Amino acid sequence: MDKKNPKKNTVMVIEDEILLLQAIVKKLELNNFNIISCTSGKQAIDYLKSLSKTPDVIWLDYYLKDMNGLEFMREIKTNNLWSEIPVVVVSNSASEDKVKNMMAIGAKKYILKAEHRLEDIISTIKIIINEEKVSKN
Amino acid sequence: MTKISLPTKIVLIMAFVILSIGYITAKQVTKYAEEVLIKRRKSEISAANSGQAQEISQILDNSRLFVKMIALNTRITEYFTQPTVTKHNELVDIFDEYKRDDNQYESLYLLDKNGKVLISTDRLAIGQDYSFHEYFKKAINGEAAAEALIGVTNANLGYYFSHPVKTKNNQPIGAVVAKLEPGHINRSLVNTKVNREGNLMLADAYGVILYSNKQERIYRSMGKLNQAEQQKIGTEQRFPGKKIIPLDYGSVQEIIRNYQESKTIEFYDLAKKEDEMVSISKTGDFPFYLVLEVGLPDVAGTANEISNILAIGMFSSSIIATIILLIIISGFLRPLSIFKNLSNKVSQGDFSQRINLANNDELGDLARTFNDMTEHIQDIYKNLEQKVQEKTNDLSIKISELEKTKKAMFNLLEDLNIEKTKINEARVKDDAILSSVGDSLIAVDYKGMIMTVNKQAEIMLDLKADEVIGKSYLDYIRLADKDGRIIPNDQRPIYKTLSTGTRIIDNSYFYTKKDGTKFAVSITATPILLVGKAIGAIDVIRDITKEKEVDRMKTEFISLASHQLRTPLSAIKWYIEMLLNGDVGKLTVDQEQFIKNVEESSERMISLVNSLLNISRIESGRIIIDPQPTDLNELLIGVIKELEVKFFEKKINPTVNVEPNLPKINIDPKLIRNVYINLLTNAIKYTPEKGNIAISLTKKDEQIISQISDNGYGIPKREQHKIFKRFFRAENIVKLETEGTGLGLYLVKAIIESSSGRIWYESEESKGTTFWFSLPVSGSLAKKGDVTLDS
Repeated sequence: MDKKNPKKNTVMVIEDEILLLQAIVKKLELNNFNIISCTSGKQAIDYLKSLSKTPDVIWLDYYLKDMNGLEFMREIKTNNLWSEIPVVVVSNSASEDKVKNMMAIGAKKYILKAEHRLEDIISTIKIIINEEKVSKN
Repeated sequence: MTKISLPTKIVLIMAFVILSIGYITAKQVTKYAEEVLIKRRKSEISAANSGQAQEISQILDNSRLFVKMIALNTRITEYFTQPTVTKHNELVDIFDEYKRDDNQYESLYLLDKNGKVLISTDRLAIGQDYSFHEYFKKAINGEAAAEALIGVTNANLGYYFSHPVKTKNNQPIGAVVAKLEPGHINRSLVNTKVNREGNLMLADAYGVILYSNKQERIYRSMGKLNQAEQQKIGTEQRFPGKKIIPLDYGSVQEIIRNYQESKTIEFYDLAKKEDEMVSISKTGDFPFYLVLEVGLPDVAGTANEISNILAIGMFSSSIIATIILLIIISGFLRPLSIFKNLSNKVSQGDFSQRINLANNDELGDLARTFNDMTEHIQDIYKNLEQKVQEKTNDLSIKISELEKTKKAMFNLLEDLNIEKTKINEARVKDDAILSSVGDSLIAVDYKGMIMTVNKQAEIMLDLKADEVIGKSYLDYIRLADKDGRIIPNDQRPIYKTLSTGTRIIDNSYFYTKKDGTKFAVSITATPILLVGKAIGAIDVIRDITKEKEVDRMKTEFISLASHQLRTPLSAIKWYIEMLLNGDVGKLTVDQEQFIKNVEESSERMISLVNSLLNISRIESGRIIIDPQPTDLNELLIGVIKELEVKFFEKKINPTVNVEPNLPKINIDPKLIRNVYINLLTNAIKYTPEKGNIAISLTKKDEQIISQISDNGYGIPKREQHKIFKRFFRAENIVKLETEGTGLGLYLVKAIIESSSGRIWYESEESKGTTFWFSLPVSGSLAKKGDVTLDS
């Protein structure tokens, strides 16, 4: 992992599909983000444990190989610091109950992957980071 | 049956009784007579035999005395003491004299103490040694003896008598022996009664027969001789030259061997095949035995003769008695035939008959009583006749009436039977139909009371027809939703059907069995309508556990497939985005165009996947219908705005007409929006550039009707029946426009119908198409599910 620019915002991307992950990382780089890319839920938790500064936002795919979005959310909600991090769910499946459950546990946004362009999602992420900053200040 | 008169009967019975008694008596008498006769005969024979034996013993005794007399002659003793020639000659003379005196003796002998013949009337015997003879052995031992044997010198049978000659000291020193001719004894037997009676035999102590009226039996033994006897007979040379062959009288032999007293035995003679009796008597103290054999049939024959005479006597007396009885009884009973004749006449209606009988007995009384009776009847009958005539007339009228009624009744019954059969047939048919239906079927009346349940209902719903018929459907058929909540009565399909008179179909409930288990059911409640009013309903309940399971699997599959399809589609979409955005460098014009083509295809793919997903959601019934108060006008304007670009591309300016003051209605805006998008997209797609598209919203009755018309290509008539089918695309359209899934209208119809609405259309090829759909002002019914469109 390359050295992070502290001035830049950091996005933790959790996506088990390598091709998608590469596209996302590339697009986020172009948009000047620090990126922590993870291919599994466990890897993401391990990173969170080792990092001194929590990421500004988490980009979460719902279906991961080792756990689903809900399980991941429950995991990060066990830690006060982590539970502050806004989560954007980007998934192939957006059934009513999934959306409802994820939003209820604290996800900021639920986005259907194939229906949205990368640029649109990144805009959403930027907005969320700004909102967070405003509300913190 | 032949009539038998009373006297005949009495006589016959009497005759029968007399004859029976006579027969039985005769039988008994015969039996008794036979027994008595046999007994008597037996003792008679036995007595005769022993009497005869006694007679023989007398003869033998004479001979014994004769021998004794000679032996006691002192001259013999003297001769033995001092034998001299003189004395010898003297004795020879004396012996000759003895023989002459009594010529029944064949020979006389004098034997010395060694058994040697000293003197004999038979000169040939002189000097012979007879010591081997039993009679000598006995005599020299001091005993007199008698035995029968065949002589040594002349080979004749003779009865030998011996007596010892003793000294003054009573010591035997020799013996005197006399040989008696057998003829003497034989003659005494030949002319006797016993000889005529049967087979007479005289046997010696060994059972050897010495005399018999059956010549061939002589020298044969009664039964088998044992070895000692045979040996003895041999050494004593009793019957030299004779072979003693036994006869078949083993028991007689045995009696002789162990003789104690005279005996009579009975046995069955195998050779003659008849019962026989044999009497055995010893001849005094001589070792000879008289044996008399008599056949018993002779005895029985006599008895039978007696009984025959008796029977004939009895029978003839019976007949005579019967005839006498007949004469007497018919005399007594003659008045009876007079009674009979007169009674016959009376019974034929002639009551003037009287009996003239002066008997001073029971018959006389009977005659008087009979006369009184006929007189009395004569009186009654006169009145009766008239009355009977009247009653008979009445009766015949009534009978004919009854006949008619009966006929009518029969006809009625016949009709009834035919009807009954028809009804039974119909019922059986109905039963067969009902019981062969695979679904539960329950019929209720207008009050919701159960009238019928079929077999399947009893099985599936775990209830008994007997228990539920006449009871309230709502109480007995319990329904719950998927969370187990009991469905309120006013939402139950049967209730709705009875109250609205329309058919209600519901697939969302669960039936709970008595044991608490539940299963998903599809309920179809159909009203039974009479002049537009529900007089009852038929409730068909189907177990849809399997269908639900299949649906669940289908949805699961689609959800999985969607994930799998959408991932590569997302990758394609995002990489194209970055390429077109120049994120990896500027594209040439051609490259950009090509990538755009790829993008278009990928977008179509994404929309196809979405459509498929939507359809599966709608079909599975799992889609959520979440009605909210919606201003349809607002919704429509929003959609038109969304499609602005598309309208612009086709240079079409849609006209919109909305009736003022339309009420907001409770519909799911997401779903209805989808309907507008689909119908408008179609209109734009299938209308040439600069065509017309008109949209209107109107209210008619309690429905809000949306209308979307175009003057586009239209749908060929022959294909119109298929337009709501999945993947339908009209032939004329496919040539012009390659893009399209054929799923739009299918989805539209599904949405409208699940929103309590209706859709219809008009179309003509090359002229255009109009779609209408209605939504009730009362709104759509909310439906719980687990999916929404486009998710």
